[in-house]
Amino acid sequence: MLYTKRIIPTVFFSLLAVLSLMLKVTTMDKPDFAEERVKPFEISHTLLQKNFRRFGHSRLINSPHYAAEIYNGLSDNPECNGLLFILSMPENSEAEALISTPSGFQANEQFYILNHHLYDTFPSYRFWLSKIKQRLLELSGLKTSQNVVFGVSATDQCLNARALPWKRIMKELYPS
Amino acid sequence: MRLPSLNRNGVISVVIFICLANTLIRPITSAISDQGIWGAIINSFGVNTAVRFAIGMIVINLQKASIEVPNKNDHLIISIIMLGIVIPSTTISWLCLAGFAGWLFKTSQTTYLRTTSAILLVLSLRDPLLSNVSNLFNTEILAIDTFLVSMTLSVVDASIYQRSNLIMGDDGVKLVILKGCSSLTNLSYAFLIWYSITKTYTTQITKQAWLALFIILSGIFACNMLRLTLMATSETNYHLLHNATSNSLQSVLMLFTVLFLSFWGAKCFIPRG
Repeated sequence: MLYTKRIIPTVFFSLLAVLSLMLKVTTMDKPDFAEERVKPFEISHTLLQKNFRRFGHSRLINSPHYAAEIYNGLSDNPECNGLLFILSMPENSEAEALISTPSGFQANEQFYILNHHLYDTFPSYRFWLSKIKQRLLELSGLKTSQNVVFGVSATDQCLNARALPWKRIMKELYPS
Repeated sequence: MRLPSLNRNGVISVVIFICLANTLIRPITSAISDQGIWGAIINSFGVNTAVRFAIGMIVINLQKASIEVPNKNDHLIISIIMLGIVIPSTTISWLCLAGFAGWLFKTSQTTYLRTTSAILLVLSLRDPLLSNVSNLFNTEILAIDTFLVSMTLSVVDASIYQRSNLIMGDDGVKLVILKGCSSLTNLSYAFLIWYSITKTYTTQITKQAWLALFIILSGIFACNMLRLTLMATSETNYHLLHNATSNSLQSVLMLFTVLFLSFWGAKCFIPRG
């Protein structure tokens, strides 16, 4: 009686307690937000093929966080011969205003990309849902892709930035 | 061999301890691996003072609580909570703890245990609520902070205006207010300390306690606005106020003020006959 009433539950709950703590510690190796934010971009060959030149990396604030990737459309580029700023926003919308005036330039077009869909404003609600979905998939042991919103802004001479093949460009710039 | 026999209060204490360990294990492990054991000890293992304070208040209330008669559903609820915390997610562990606190609040027969569960509920809901609210309404929250800073600055400099979370001037962006600069996190910690003290030391929340809360929250908000306003005035001020020493000094001052006002609100300074 003592065996079933006290020892089994005690052992069972003790094992669960130890297991829960071990699982928390062993699943900690996810890159944190700060690391994610400064993760460098790869080169987009699609943009290079579409008459763009990689202009470099520019910090939008005086810290390594929020550095935008810049591409410059060449003069014979029919779609865009201005500047394209691409910024990863892995947590929230706090850099929304920064990407609208990147490095002192006035953007004529600004949009956001989440899971290959384009949005006019930062998709806070969809991003929140997407993060929950990603976390649940991770907890189920399924492999998930990076969950980041990209802010894109284009200067005056870049009039057709939305028409670029962003799905392909994002896969090149930010491979998961 | 004789097994130690635990009463309801003992079982509750053990479950709370395991749940809290699950919610705090990640910051503690990170602090030890990043700063070494001594650095982690100095920095309180990366656990915020308000959280440690609330845990202290929970322990005080648990010690004072008289032994309760077990509830017939205790085993079922504890089993669900224990299975829930096995999921390797800190947020889920906080929510499990909140669920357990809710169950305790509903079933506790004594005031001290009810107080324990109320503090536990506020403590466990603070983290998941804050992170989700600040992610969902980040633009709006930052815009409020920025609006107030730009209003204050525009009194001395008419060229200052606000654009979303940017303080703009003649020469471009003067200050960017990011999530970490917002008053929201400090307000939530201050509320946690105030609630823990008030629930522990008073039977019901008095007018004086509400007044203390009002002073605490408006004071924290005003201090943060002043800090951000000064940061926007010059680069020297920005560097002076945006470093680790200044942040630590501000946190210590804020903590003592919040503690003083919370104890004052709970009438702890009046000698009891």
